[in-house]
Amino acid sequence: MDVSAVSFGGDFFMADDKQIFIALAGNPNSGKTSIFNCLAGANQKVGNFSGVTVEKVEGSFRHRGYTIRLVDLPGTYSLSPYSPEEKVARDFILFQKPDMVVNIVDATNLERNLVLTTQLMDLEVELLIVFNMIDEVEKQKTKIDYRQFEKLFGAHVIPVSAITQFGIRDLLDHIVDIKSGKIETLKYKHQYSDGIEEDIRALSDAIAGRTAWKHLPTRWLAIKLIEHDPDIIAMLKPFPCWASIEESIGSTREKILRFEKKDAEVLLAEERMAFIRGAIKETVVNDEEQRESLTEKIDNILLHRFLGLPVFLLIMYAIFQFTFRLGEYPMLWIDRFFQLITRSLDALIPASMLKSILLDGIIAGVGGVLVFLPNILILFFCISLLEATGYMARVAFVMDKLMHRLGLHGKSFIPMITGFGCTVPALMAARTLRNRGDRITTMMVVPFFSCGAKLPLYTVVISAFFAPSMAGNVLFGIYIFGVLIGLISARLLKSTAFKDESEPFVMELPPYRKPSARSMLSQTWIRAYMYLKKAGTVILLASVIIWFAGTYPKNAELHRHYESLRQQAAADIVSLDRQEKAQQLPYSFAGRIGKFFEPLSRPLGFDWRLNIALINGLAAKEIVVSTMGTIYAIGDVDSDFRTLAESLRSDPHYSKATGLSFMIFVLLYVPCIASVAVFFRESSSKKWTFLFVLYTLSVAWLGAFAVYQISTLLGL
Amino acid sequence: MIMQDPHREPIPLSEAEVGSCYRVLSVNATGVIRQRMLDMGLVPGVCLTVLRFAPLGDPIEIRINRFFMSLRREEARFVQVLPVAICPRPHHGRFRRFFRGGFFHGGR
Repeated sequence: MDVSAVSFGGDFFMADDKQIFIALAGNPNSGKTSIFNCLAGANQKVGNFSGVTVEKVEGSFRHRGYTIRLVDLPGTYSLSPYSPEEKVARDFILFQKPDMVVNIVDATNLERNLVLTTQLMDLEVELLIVFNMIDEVEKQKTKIDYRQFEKLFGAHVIPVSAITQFGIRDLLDHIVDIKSGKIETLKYKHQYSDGIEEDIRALSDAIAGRTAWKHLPTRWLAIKLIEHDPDIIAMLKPFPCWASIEESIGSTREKILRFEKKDAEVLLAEERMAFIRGAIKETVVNDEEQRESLTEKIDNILLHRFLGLPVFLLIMYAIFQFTFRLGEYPMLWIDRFFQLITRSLDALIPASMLKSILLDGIIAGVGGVLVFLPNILILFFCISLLEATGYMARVAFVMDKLMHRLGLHGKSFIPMITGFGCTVPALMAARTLRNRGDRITTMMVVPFFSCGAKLPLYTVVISAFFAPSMAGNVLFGIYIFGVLIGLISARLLKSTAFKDESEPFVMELPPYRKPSARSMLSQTWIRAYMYLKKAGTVILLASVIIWFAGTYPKNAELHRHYESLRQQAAADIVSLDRQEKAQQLPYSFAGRIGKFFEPLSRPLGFDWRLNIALINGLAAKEIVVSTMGTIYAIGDVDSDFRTLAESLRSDPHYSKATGLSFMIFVLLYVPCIASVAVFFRESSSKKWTFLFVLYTLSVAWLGAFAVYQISTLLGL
Repeated sequence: MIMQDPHREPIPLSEAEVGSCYRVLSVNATGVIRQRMLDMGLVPGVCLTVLRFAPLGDPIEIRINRFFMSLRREEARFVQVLPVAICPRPHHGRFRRFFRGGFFHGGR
């Protein structure tokens, strides 16, 4: 096969006539991505469609001397702009004008898949239909008359199976043959009933020749206007010629309503469906009686009235355990690796400012991010698995009632539960929500689901102020408090900022499928890579800033004092170093900032030292404990929590109330810089990113204030 | 057999019975929701089987041909359906109905 992968350099492409630009369109779950992988192989470039967070995957390869550039459009049921994905797919075909649209159709479910096909026919593009999953069709002993089908749809049909690779070569040959003119396509329009066709023609004539709309297919515009597509109307309204058109649209719709007793869009959808059903009746023969499919059998258990919920909780629990238990080991290795680097560099480089930046700033910061990589990889692998098998839609189905009470969508459940692990992947998991209001709301409340990095702090504080018998209950209480705040916040946001933006729950429960290892691994990798790239760069910057604030300005006098101490008593240099660090801290920017915020933090019971810990915690929550360790001059806290706990307990400034209030603050305030960066990328809104920070900070302050004041009153 | 009176009154899909078959009469939702339903094949004239309600009782799962679709009761209210006697899947008989909702739901 002459399908050699090529790099994606822009200068690679040869003469224009030897290049074919193709868009892959198809329903979700039609196997579009598998076909894309078959065609483009490993040569993929992932990005976003301009201006929206809809993933755009491109690939490029050569076949018979042609360079074929392939764009995988988002999976859509239709071309009406219901979701950003659908709008992107439609706009891409309309404005980027690909040479050919290859429509991937799930041949086991023609009736629904062909709805998109008829809409693509309305667009009057060069269309090539691919019947995917032909192996399953053959297993069902279904026979399809392709010749007849091609006659009805006016486009070539290629039977293909992405799993067995059957027909892929045929598909490539067809693409080249159509482009080179070897095969002539019929390019039928989809014919509606005579009355409608007359209306379409009349409206087309009225539109034709308007220079402003010249780049759009006239017939399609007319159909969309009859259907009263809000997006198209908004697009055309600003033009002066709109007024004359508007009238004839109104009269056409009125006429249809009067004679057919139904709205035009319903009539057109019915006619499309009637055409599809007629075509299927004419071309598909299925001798076997329809049996209960495997999917139904599985769902009879997984969605069972009584078993459904326990099974679901079990799956969630398993993923959670899998992610965090299995992730522990590689996390330990990564942690050790960075310790090793730090130690060896420490010995290698003479003390200097550069060394300090490198070790305390960059390696500490970047290491702190990389440590999460195993968690993120495993979690995203599990999420891809749920998505690829089809269970993800069932999660939404099972949880929707509960989530809907909060004004959210069933799919919001996944990001929320993920939030208990790490906020960053949780924010990314919110992508599966189509509605912007639901997505932003979910992302806003995710931080309240206490992430794993906060746990060490709870452990220290609880062991400092509470009896061991109480520890479990206090910890559980903290988690529940976070969940409650999250749920209340969701309710609040959905009833104020996103009042009318609720996504209706009309979704497919796709048939269960065996996931392909290749696409799952590539999806996991893509997500991990994005995490590394974006969060990594921001963390790098942030850790340098935090390092700087904690180190400068140097107190020269103090330094001289310790220098002389060191020379006197060479025995315990390590502890002297720590003491110097501890005394240098109040002098540094961080210390001054901590002192500056004391008036604000006093009602919560925090002094400047806790403030520094909180401010450093903005970089990552693990840093809270290690900063406290430094502050209380006891050095490496990770090895022995009890010493920090003891020094907290013995400090006269602190009480149970302080401990509770501090834990609540850590629970509720901004998770970390990485999460803010990811929030910005996922929401692409400065306003909401700002609100994200502001909201979590104010909720944390209020929560800690309430807890501190109440528990002080109770005499804790 | 599920013998329903074919002349029964049309009902909203939200009040449909699990395991029964219906023919869609009209989709009265407004705006994008209706377009969505139509695009997904919930078009007047098609036959659907109500498969189940979610464990917590709300979204409802229906089967149109080989397509499994779920929607909330509040959206299903807008879909008028008429009970039909002939179910495309003949073995949805009394036996199944008897065990429906019990632990043997998935069994034969």
